[in-house]
Amino acid sequence: MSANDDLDRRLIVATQAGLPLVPRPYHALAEQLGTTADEVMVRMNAMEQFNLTVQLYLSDCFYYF
Amino acid sequence: MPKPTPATLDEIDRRIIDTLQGDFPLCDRPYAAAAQRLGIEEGELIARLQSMLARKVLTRFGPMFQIERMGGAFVLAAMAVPAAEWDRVNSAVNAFAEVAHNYRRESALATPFNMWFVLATETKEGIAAAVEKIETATGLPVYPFPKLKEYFVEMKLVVRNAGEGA
Repeated sequence: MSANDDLDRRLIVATQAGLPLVPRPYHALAEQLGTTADEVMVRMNAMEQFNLTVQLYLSDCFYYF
Repeated sequence: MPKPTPATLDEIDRRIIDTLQGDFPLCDRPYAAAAQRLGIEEGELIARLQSMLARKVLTRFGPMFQIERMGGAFVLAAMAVPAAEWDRVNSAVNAFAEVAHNYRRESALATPFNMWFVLATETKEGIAAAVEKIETATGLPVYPFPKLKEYFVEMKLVVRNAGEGA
Protein backbone atom coordinates (compact mmCIF):
# COMPACT_ATOMS: atom_id res chain seq x y z
CA MET A 1 0.00 0.00 0.00
CA SER A 2 1.49 3.34 -1.02
CA ALA A 3 1.92 6.24 1.37
CA ASN A 4 -0.92 8.04 -0.44
CA ASP A 5 -3.30 5.14 -0.06
CA ASP A 6 -2.41 4.92 3.57
CA LEU A 7 -3.08 8.63 4.08
CA ASP A 8 -6.47 8.22 2.38
CA ARG A 9 -7.28 5.34 4.67
CA ARG A 10 -6.18 7.24 7.77
CA LEU A 11 -8.18 10.26 6.65
CA ILE A 12 -11.32 8.13 6.38
CA VAL A 13 -10.73 6.71 9.84
CA ALA A 14 -10.01 10.17 11.27
CA THR A 15 -13.24 11.63 9.87
CA GLN A 16 -15.45 8.62 10.56
CA ALA A 17 -17.11 10.36 13.49
CA GLY A 18 -17.31 13.59 11.49
CA LEU A 19 -15.35 16.66 10.52
CA PRO A 20 -13.74 18.36 13.56
CA LEU A 21 -15.95 21.24 14.73
CA VAL A 22 -13.11 23.72 15.06
CA PRO A 23 -12.40 26.82 12.94
CA ARG A 24 -9.61 25.05 11.02
CA PRO A 25 -10.78 21.44 10.72
CA TYR A 26 -8.39 20.48 7.91
CA HIS A 27 -5.44 21.81 9.95
CA ALA A 28 -6.64 19.80 12.94
CA LEU A 29 -6.80 16.64 10.80
CA ALA A 30 -3.36 17.39 9.33
CA GLU A 31 -1.83 17.71 12.77
CA GLN A 32 -3.46 14.47 13.88
CA LEU A 33 -2.21 12.63 10.77
CA GLY A 34 1.26 14.16 10.61
CA THR A 35 0.76 15.96 7.31
CA THR A 36 -0.17 19.42 6.03
CA ALA A 37 -3.61 20.99 5.73
CA ASP A 38 -3.01 21.46 1.99
CA GLU A 39 -2.35 17.74 1.63
CA VAL A 40 -5.52 16.93 3.58
CA MET A 41 -7.58 19.18 1.30
CA VAL A 42 -5.95 17.73 -1.83
CA ARG A 43 -6.60 14.18 -0.65
CA MET A 44 -10.18 14.93 0.33
CA ASN A 45 -10.82 16.56 -3.00
CA ALA A 46 -9.24 13.64 -4.89
CA MET A 47 -11.11 11.02 -2.90
CA GLU A 48 -14.38 12.73 -3.47
CA GLN A 49 -13.76 13.90 -6.99
CA PHE A 50 -17.16 12.75 -8.17
CA ASN A 51 -19.06 14.05 -5.29
CA LEU A 52 -17.58 16.40 -2.75
CA THR A 53 -20.20 16.16 -0.09
CA VAL A 54 -20.70 16.82 3.50
CA GLN A 55 -23.70 14.80 4.49
CA LEU A 56 -26.01 15.55 7.33
CA TYR A 57 -27.89 12.53 8.48
CA LEU A 58 -31.11 13.38 10.20
CA SER A 59 -31.94 10.90 12.93
CA ASP A 60 -34.54 8.39 11.85
CA CYS A 61 -34.20 9.47 8.22
CA PHE A 62 -31.24 7.54 6.90
CA TYR A 63 -32.04 4.95 4.30
CA TYR A 64 -29.91 2.30 2.66
CA PHE A 65 -30.92 0.51 -0.50
CA MET B 1 -34.29 1.90 18.09
CA PRO B 2 -36.19 4.33 20.34
CA LYS B 3 -38.27 6.86 18.49
CA PRO B 4 -36.47 10.22 18.60
CA THR B 5 -38.29 13.23 19.98
CA PRO B 6 -39.27 15.63 17.21
CA ALA B 7 -36.45 18.10 16.75
CA THR B 8 -36.90 21.76 17.46
CA LEU B 9 -35.19 23.64 14.68
CA ASP B 10 -35.31 27.33 14.15
CA GLU B 11 -35.05 28.99 10.78
CA ILE B 12 -31.24 29.24 10.90
CA ASP B 13 -30.86 25.54 11.81
CA ARG B 14 -33.05 24.63 8.86
CA ARG B 15 -31.05 26.81 6.51
CA ILE B 16 -27.81 25.25 7.78
CA ILE B 17 -29.12 21.76 7.01
CA ASP B 18 -30.49 22.77 3.62
CA THR B 19 -27.34 24.66 2.61
CA LEU B 20 -24.57 22.35 3.79
CA GLN B 21 -25.88 19.10 2.34
CA GLY B 22 -23.70 18.09 -0.54
CA ASP B 23 -21.47 21.12 -0.40
CA PHE B 24 -18.90 22.12 2.16
CA PRO B 25 -15.89 24.33 1.40
CA LEU B 26 -12.31 23.06 1.23
CA CYS B 27 -10.33 26.03 2.48
CA ASP B 28 -8.47 27.15 5.58
CA ARG B 29 -11.59 28.20 7.46
CA PRO B 30 -14.48 26.30 5.89
CA TYR B 31 -16.93 27.06 8.69
CA ALA B 32 -16.24 30.78 8.27
CA ALA B 33 -16.82 30.50 4.51
CA ALA B 34 -20.03 28.51 4.96
CA ALA B 35 -21.22 30.87 7.70
CA GLN B 36 -20.72 33.84 5.44
CA ARG B 37 -23.00 32.27 2.84
CA LEU B 38 -25.59 31.77 5.57
CA GLY B 39 -25.18 35.30 6.87
CA ILE B 40 -24.06 34.20 10.34
CA GLU B 41 -20.77 34.14 12.27
CA GLU B 42 -18.32 31.22 12.12
CA GLY B 43 -18.70 30.62 15.87
CA GLU B 44 -22.47 30.49 15.60
CA LEU B 45 -22.36 27.91 12.81
CA ILE B 46 -20.00 25.69 14.81
CA ALA B 47 -22.11 26.10 17.97
CA ARG B 48 -25.32 25.27 16.09
CA LEU B 49 -23.78 22.17 14.51
CA GLN B 50 -22.55 21.09 17.96
CA SER B 51 -26.01 21.65 19.39
CA MET B 52 -27.78 19.73 16.61
CA LEU B 53 -25.33 16.85 17.06
CA ALA B 54 -25.83 16.89 20.84
CA ARG B 55 -29.61 16.86 20.35
CA LYS B 56 -29.23 14.04 17.79
CA VAL B 57 -30.93 16.15 15.14
CA LEU B 58 -27.82 15.35 13.16
CA THR B 59 -26.13 12.02 13.70
CA ARG B 60 -22.98 12.93 11.82
CA PHE B 61 -21.46 15.93 10.12
CA GLY B 62 -18.56 14.95 7.92
CA PRO B 63 -17.33 13.91 4.50
CA MET B 64 -18.81 10.90 2.71
CA PHE B 65 -16.00 9.10 0.99
CA GLN B 66 -16.59 6.90 -2.02
CA ILE B 67 -15.04 3.85 -0.42
CA GLU B 68 -16.04 1.57 -3.27
CA ARG B 69 -13.91 3.63 -5.66
CA MET B 70 -11.03 3.15 -3.24
CA GLY B 71 -11.28 -0.64 -3.18
CA GLY B 72 -13.60 -0.91 -0.20
CA ALA B 73 -16.99 -2.57 -0.12
CA PHE B 74 -20.47 -2.08 1.29
CA VAL B 75 -22.89 -5.00 1.51
CA LEU B 76 -26.37 -5.20 2.97
CA ALA B 77 -26.68 -8.23 5.25
CA ALA B 78 -29.51 -9.90 7.12
CA MET B 79 -29.96 -12.37 9.94
CA ALA B 80 -32.93 -14.32 11.27
CA VAL B 81 -32.67 -13.73 15.01
CA PRO B 82 -34.99 -15.58 17.44
CA ALA B 83 -36.83 -13.06 19.63
CA ALA B 84 -35.48 -14.62 22.84
CA GLU B 85 -31.92 -14.14 21.61
CA TRP B 86 -32.35 -10.66 20.23
CA ASP B 87 -30.40 -8.70 22.86
CA ARG B 88 -27.45 -11.05 22.92
CA VAL B 89 -27.15 -11.20 19.13
CA ASN B 90 -27.73 -7.47 18.76
CA SER B 91 -24.87 -6.61 21.16
CA ALA B 92 -22.56 -9.12 19.49
CA VAL B 93 -23.30 -7.74 16.01
CA ASN B 94 -22.96 -4.10 17.03
CA ALA B 95 -19.55 -4.80 18.58
CA PHE B 96 -18.06 -5.17 15.09
CA ALA B 97 -16.54 -2.03 13.58
CA GLU B 98 -17.61 -3.26 10.12
CA VAL B 99 -21.31 -3.03 11.07
CA ALA B 100 -23.37 0.11 10.48
CA HIS B 101 -27.06 0.97 10.33
CA ASN B 102 -28.33 -2.07 12.17
CA TYR B 103 -32.15 -2.15 12.16
CA ARG B 104 -34.79 -4.52 13.43
CA ARG B 105 -37.35 -4.76 10.65
CA GLU B 106 -40.63 -6.50 10.11
CA SER B 107 -42.11 -7.72 6.85
CA ALA B 108 -45.56 -8.55 5.55
CA LEU B 109 -43.96 -11.37 3.59
CA ALA B 110 -42.98 -14.62 5.20
CA THR B 111 -39.28 -13.82 5.48
CA PRO B 112 -37.38 -15.02 8.54
CA PHE B 113 -35.03 -12.04 8.35
CA ASN B 114 -35.59 -9.48 11.08
CA MET B 115 -32.12 -7.94 11.57
CA TRP B 116 -30.65 -5.92 8.72
CA PHE B 117 -27.39 -4.05 8.68
CA VAL B 118 -24.68 -2.80 6.37
CA LEU B 119 -21.17 -4.23 6.34
CA ALA B 120 -18.43 -1.82 5.30
CA THR B 121 -14.91 -3.09 4.80
CA GLU B 122 -11.67 -1.70 3.41
CA THR B 123 -11.39 -4.44 0.79
CA LYS B 124 -13.94 -6.48 -1.17
CA GLU B 125 -12.50 -9.65 0.39
CA GLY B 126 -13.13 -8.20 3.85
CA ILE B 127 -16.88 -8.82 3.52
CA ALA B 128 -16.56 -12.61 3.64
CA ALA B 129 -14.21 -12.35 6.62
CA ALA B 130 -16.64 -10.06 8.46
CA VAL B 131 -19.55 -12.42 7.77
CA GLU B 132 -17.55 -15.31 9.18
CA LYS B 133 -16.55 -13.36 12.32
CA ILE B 134 -20.16 -12.38 13.02
CA GLU B 135 -21.35 -15.96 12.47
CA THR B 136 -18.73 -17.22 14.92
CA ALA B 137 -19.62 -14.58 17.52
CA THR B 138 -23.39 -15.07 17.28
CA GLY B 139 -23.71 -18.72 16.33
CA LEU B 140 -26.21 -17.70 13.65
CA PRO B 141 -25.85 -17.48 9.87
CA VAL B 142 -25.36 -14.09 8.23
CA TYR B 143 -26.78 -13.62 4.73
CA PRO B 144 -25.08 -10.98 2.58
CA PHE B 145 -27.16 -9.36 -0.17
CA PRO B 146 -24.61 -7.98 -2.64
CA LYS B 147 -26.02 -5.37 -4.94
CA LEU B 148 -26.46 -6.14 -8.62
CA LYS B 149 -26.89 -2.56 -9.72
CA GLU B 150 -26.89 0.80 -8.01
CA TYR B 151 -29.78 3.01 -9.07
CA PHE B 152 -29.88 5.97 -6.74
CA VAL B 153 -28.30 6.67 -3.41
CA GLU B 154 -28.17 10.35 -2.76
CA MET B 155 -30.76 11.75 -0.44
CA LYS B 156 -31.06 15.40 0.33
CA LEU B 157 -33.61 16.66 2.77
CA VAL B 158 -35.44 19.92 2.75
CA VAL B 159 -36.38 20.92 6.27
CA ARG B 160 -39.69 22.71 6.67
CA ASN B 161 -41.68 24.07 9.53
CA ALA B 162 -44.34 21.74 10.89
CA GLY B 163 -47.55 22.56 9.04
CA GLU B 164 -45.72 24.16 6.14
CA GLY B 165 -47.18 22.37 3.13
CA ALA B 166 -45.18 20.93 0.25
